[in-house]
Amino acid sequence: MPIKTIKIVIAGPYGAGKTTFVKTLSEVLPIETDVPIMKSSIDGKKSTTVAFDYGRMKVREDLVVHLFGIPGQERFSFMWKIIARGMHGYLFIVDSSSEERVKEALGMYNFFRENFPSTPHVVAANKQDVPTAVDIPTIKSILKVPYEVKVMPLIATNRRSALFVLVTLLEEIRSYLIEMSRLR
Amino acid sequence: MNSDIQRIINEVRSSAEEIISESPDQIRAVYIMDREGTVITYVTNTILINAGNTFFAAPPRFISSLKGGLVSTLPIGDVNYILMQGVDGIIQLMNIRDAGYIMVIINSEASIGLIRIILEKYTDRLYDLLRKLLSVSEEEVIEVINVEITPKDIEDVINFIKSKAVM
Repeated sequence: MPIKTIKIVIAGPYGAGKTTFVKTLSEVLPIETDVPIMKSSIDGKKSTTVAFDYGRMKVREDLVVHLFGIPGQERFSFMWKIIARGMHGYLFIVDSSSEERVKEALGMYNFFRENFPSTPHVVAANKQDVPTAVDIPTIKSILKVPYEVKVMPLIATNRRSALFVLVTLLEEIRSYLIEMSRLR
Repeated sequence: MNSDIQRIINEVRSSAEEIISESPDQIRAVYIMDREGTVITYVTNTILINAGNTFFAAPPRFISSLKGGLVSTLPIGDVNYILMQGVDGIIQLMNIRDAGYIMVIINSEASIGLIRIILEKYTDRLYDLLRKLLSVSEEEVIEVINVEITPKDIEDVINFIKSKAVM
């Protein structure tokens, strides 16, 4: 029996909360995260994603969901396209604690929009619990998010919030697949 | 795993530093890019560059579009070498045998010939490193997905998640 693999990529700049998001999900969902990953100390942050975070969730005997976290630092940008190849959808996480942090995400978001223009995705505005958090319409405007793409508030440390965002992305992927099957 | 990737990137960076050291009074910055124009590493010459210069603080990602534009507008075929004069310096861009690009920004046109010789000297080494980088990255990361996913599969995932966690 061939095993079906759903590939979901968690993208976003350095420090946006991608690793935290996958970690929070793994507290609730049976996600295996023991697949080898590499951590190292860079730029004063205790640990950062150098290669990719990886989570695997078995839904049925023949259906597995793979989560890939993309390294946010610009100097690993040559890997973004390689990691994202073949993905069914991506979650783009931004640190929304200040306008500067949101602006820092613009380059990476444009990269994904240019290279994967039709791939379903959701933008997640992380750190919405911070008092200085930027509101959703402003984030949409800064990132020039297309009107049909959802921008959702996220608190990556909160299980409910993380699950809600993941399910929303999956619903977007499902809608896209239905639309594609209609066009065939 | 990816200590290999980190090691190769470090070697690419060392090569860029060596290029600057070949002519430290002329070369302002060195950029090494993959074949799509994404910067893998860049080194600026701190003696010649003002730390507050925004151009050097943010590595450019325009090479592929520049090359594409030139090829489509000029009947010159493939572009392997570009020389551009700007107000604050001269850009020399060289194709590394379709594995990537090396770009330097230099001070004056008097050193163009010398810098070109220097760049050619490093082409073989950089070619090997970029090929290795690409093969290591793909080896580690590529997922082969050849079974079609249906809306029903996604529905099953959503239901699975909802069953595991009360939303």
